[in-house]
Amino acid sequence: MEIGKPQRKYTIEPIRDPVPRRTREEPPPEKRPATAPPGEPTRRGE
Amino acid sequence: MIGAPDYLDPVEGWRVWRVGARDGQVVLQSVFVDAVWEPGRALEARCEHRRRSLWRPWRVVTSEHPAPDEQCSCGIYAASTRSAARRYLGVPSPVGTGMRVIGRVSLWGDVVESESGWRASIAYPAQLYVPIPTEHARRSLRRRAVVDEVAVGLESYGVPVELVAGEPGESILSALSW
Repeated sequence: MEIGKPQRKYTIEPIRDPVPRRTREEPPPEKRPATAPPGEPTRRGE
Repeated sequence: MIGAPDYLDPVEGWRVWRVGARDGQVVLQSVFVDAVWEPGRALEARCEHRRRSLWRPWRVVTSEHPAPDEQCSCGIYAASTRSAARRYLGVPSPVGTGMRVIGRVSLWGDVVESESGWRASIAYPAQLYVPIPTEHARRSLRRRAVVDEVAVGLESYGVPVELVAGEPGESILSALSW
């Protein structure tokens, strides 16, 4: 591709990733039930 | 990159891709080099320029500089205008045949700004335009089905994909002259 002579060089570090987070190949993560880890009581003393 | 960046927003240019297939998936490929643009993954440039060693001229050595380098021609290219990019819809490719699409591309990382475009170290498509055949022949209907399949396949990139009326090459110019 012809784009002419170089004029200057700089760096770009985008704040937001230009790559879409979710593409068709990356399905949304499965929702897990909001339960406490096994063996861990939800309330103390019960 | 070392130190603070100069800018925080990617530049957006125009370029043309070849459309190919890999593992049953529609993928974008560069027109002039054998590079596949993976869906969901930014393409990173590397210099593939080769030269003869000064001390051992029978040896071919690869360049070791990061792409893009101002003194080299390496990097991921984009034109600053649609009109500059669209001529590549009809330019023969040295690495393969196939349908072409045009679109906007985000460029970031190290960027060499030139008179009418950029060369960058990292890039990802921002918007894709797929040309639709306008013939009414039966063959064209089959081709239209392929175009639809390509457009659906390109949605894996997670960016807007738009169909535009016109044939690949010069006749798409009018379709893209909005």
